[in-house]
Amino acid sequence: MGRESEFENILDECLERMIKGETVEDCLARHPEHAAELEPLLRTALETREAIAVTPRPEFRQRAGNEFQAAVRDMQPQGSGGFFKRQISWIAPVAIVIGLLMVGSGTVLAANSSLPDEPLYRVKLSTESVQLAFTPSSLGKAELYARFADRRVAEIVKMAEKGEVEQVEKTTERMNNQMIAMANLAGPPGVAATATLQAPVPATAETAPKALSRPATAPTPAPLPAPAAAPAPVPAPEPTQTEEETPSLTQVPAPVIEVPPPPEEAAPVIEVPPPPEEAAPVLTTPQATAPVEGTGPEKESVANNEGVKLDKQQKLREILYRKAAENSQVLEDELEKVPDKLKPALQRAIEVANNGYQQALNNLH
Amino acid sequence: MQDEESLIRRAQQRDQVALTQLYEENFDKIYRYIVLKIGDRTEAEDMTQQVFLNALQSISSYKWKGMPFASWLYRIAHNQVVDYLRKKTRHASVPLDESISKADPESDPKRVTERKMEIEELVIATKKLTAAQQEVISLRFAGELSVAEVARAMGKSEGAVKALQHSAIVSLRKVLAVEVA
Repeated sequence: MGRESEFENILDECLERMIKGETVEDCLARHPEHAAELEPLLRTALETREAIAVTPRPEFRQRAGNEFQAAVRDMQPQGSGGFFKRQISWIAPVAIVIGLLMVGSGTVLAANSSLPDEPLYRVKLSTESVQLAFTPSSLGKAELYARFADRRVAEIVKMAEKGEVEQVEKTTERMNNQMIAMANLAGPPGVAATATLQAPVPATAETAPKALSRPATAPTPAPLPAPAAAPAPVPAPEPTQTEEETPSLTQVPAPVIEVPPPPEEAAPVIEVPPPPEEAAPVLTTPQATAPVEGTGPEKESVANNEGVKLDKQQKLREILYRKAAENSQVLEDELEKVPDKLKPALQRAIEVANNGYQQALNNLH
Repeated sequence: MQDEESLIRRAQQRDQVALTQLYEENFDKIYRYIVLKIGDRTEAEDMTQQVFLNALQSISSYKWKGMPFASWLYRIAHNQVVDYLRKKTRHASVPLDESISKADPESDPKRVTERKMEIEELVIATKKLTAAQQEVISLRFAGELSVAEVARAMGKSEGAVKALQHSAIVSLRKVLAVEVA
């Protein structure tokens, strides 16, 4: 072991001991031969730890805790917990829906077409939450989020037509959160954690047209992105064989995103090594993955379930490709019409939408 | 770890007690991680809350791989920070000192001043580190992860993380010394 790495081990050991309550002096006494070099570093580490020991305001903590508890209560219970418990926990969402129906389906219908600056808009959002709560599968939820994204895009366009910059921004943020949720749900379990909107890619002649390109064969599983330096969505290889397998998808034009230069304060990339099964995702069809090994009924059943799941994923992919192109076009059209003061907000909406779809599609692969 | 695994399983079944426990155990750490990254305590509060709401929506797809649950939360937080910083470049931002001082108006003014100086200095100083050094400091000091956990989160070896930790503290010391001078 080199001297340098030996010292790094000692430094780390001291830091760990300090977390557990030892003082700087205790550590120095333990390693007198390194005391001169250790002391300034341990003091800096201590200062850093003390400086960072900030806490949220108590009133915020209270409010945030209440909101979190409310969100937990709103969620549909899953899996075990007993039949009776499950029945009880269904009462709340059912009651909401029945309540809405009793108040009048007209109210719900009216809310569905309401806009962010209208009183019924909250009902619209609540209805969406109930729909999500009643959708058990991840892919089903992702499909719902894709539908909600359509609504957000339509709302952004309406708000832009009204000149409501703030509402455009708010709705974009709402869409952003839903896109993150959609990307998380679209991915396999290991990828879910990495799901987020991709960092902008510096626009170049090569990358710009492919900013929302279809990852044809083996897209790189996205490491966590950073605004700078991160080559966010890896440009897809030129369409090859897979394009032929699903010709309808090839006709979707890839929207072009105007990407601003990356910010200076680059957040670092956490390079998360993909698990083996995610290392080289291949666009597969249910047929392609039909079981060829194992003839037992159990294996066939598993394979069939897998086939159904892949089929649903394929369907979701097609929806997302189509929606990405359509929504991007709608927003681009609106961008040309609106006055200058609205353009930054709309550009942000376009970017959020494109990156969101891109991330969801990456995760689906 | 075994306890956390069963806690997560319960949380995935929407067990309110388990979800609350995960929330309480990690809330402050995630908040500190975000404060160190963005330097704005008020904004960090909202972002912390959003991290947990996003986690709540995705927890059913979380897969236990022996990593602390906090690592997953840090990745969600990291992604939100990236998104925030990107957005911030398009809008006029609140100066760092202003955002920090207005975050805690009811506290003792002297303490606010002390805290403001410390955290302000630290946020500015960490910006002068390399991206990898910043991440190690954030995860190790704000996130309270062990070197082994940071190594797994960053996809690096423990030796590499220890080396980064060492160089980061040395650089921080130099930067802080220059600022004080």
